[in-house]
Amino acid sequence: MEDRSINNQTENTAGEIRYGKEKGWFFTLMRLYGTYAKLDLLWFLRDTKYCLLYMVTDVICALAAMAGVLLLSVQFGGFGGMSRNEILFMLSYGIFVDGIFNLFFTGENMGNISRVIGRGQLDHWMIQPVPVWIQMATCGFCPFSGSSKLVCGIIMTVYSLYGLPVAVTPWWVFSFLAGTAASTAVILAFVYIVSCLAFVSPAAAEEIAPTAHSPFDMLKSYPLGGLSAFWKTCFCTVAPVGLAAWLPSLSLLEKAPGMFGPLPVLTIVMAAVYMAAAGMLFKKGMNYYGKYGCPRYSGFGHR
Amino acid sequence: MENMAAPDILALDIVDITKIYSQWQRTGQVRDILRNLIHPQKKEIKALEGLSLQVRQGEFAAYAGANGAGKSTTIKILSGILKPTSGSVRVLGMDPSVSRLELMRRIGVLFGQRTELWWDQPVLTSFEWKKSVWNIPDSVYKENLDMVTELLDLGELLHTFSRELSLGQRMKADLGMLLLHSPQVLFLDEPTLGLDVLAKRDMITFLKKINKERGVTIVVTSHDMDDLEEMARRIILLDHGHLAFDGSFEELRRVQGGLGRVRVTVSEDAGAGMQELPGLTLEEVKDNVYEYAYNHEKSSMQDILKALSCLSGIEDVELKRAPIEEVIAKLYRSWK
Repeated sequence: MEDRSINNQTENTAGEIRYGKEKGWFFTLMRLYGTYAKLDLLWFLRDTKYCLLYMVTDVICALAAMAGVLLLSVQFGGFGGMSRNEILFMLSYGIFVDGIFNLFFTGENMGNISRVIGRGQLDHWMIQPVPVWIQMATCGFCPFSGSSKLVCGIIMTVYSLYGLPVAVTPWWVFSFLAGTAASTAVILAFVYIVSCLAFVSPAAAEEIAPTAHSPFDMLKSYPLGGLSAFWKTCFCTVAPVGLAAWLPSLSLLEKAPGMFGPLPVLTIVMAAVYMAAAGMLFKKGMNYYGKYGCPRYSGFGHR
Repeated sequence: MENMAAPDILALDIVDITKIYSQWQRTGQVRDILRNLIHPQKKEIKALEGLSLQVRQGEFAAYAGANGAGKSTTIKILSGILKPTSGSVRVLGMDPSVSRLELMRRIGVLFGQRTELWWDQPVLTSFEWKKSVWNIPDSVYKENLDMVTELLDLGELLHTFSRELSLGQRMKADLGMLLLHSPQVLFLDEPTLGLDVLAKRDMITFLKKINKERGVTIVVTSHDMDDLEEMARRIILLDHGHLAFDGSFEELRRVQGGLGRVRVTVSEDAGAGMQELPGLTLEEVKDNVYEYAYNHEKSSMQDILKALSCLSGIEDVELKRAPIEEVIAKLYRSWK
């Protein structure tokens, strides 16, 4: 159903409107990131008070979510095979990942895609001359209102590294960024895979994306080292909460076996697998949507 | 914004399309729980069946039918949102499900009960968002923005938040936004839904203007037949997914055999002999007003007036065309 090619409208027949020259998907992506950044900035400038309140709330929620595990680790000097400082690093890593997720996928329910599908709002995407994947990648970009958790994550990570014997080399920084990007991709892909149910059952599965996301919110802050190999495998494959913070943190602390030093290879591989599965299922879902449409439309928060 | 596409290409070319949906059937009874789990019952619904029609560039066509006739399904197929189960569709020579991106630059789709405006942003910001997403050149954007601002009287609305607009204002803003990329074909699904008389008038005048002066092809659906007759020259009627009628409104009246109406007002003591008049069929009597239907192909106006002149107590005679609402309602009833 999707035509991925971006046509060069300047070559249309004489007399027709000449659109701006499309240089390729990368430029479209950048142009739309700019557009959504501007929309977000306008919200920040117009409703500054509410926007700031929203950002502060985000940070409080992030800190509150890690407080329990942090206090336990302080009380017992670490647990689950990790020391207190290592747990603090893992928690910071988790907030950093949440920060990336919020930055790119908070807006317009992009991180809760079952709402868009279940409310019949994909129709809005289909009448835009932009490939669906570019809309999904750009629509939720909130560099101003969605940046608070990322800033908090950066500060926490830097702070936690002071208490750890980690050599912060450019390769380590690259590994950290690759790991956090992969963890974000795993969370996003998992949410999208589950959200595909909304194609076939829009009313029942409209709110399934927040439910699919919640295990990551609840469990990613726990060190899984104390669990049996079976459960560790489960949490790093079929229910990949361990890939959101625990396993990549161990790799970065060089406590997990790996051929590339701190690079969290397994997380990156699993992210690729999950993204491929999500892409395949979403494409199937779009075909189903093209065949049967969505028998309902809910206008609120229309995108 | 003028339509300069090759005139030999049809705006719409629909050939024998069928669209089948499936509906889950659930009984809601305990004994059917297992059956619903293992082998859920599905019912096939044919929204469109063997529909074929063509619309030339520059036409203004009304697309009507009772609820569930398949109007919105057709609009969704034409705009690439849905794929037909069988048959072929071409819009400006392109298959919507294959060339969606290119087609979306050339057509505009408006669903009356939905909005493309950004709810928490002023109207102008939504317009600028559209400029960026459609990659509309500055000069074209400015020209079209000036045009829609003037014709739709959007001046004061541009800086108002979309969520604060009334329905009529929102529809105007949506329509203005729809035209910013100079679409050659417009699909409007119930654009006058819920609008008051004034807002409806403004919208109809505007649509007629862009069709006449700029050659924009418009296909509009509505349940308000009077609106459709005022806007369009051609009416395409759907009945349960089949093409039931395709022609002018006058032809439709002729087909239905009730081309005209005669309304006769008589004094209070008169009324004798009014029940049966040659060439006239009594439709309604209210107080002292008698309304008849006639077919000018079967009865001459001269005979009708002669028959009326023989009666005493006639205070007023009014001749008019049969209301299109009535003609179509009669058709809908006959299809049930």
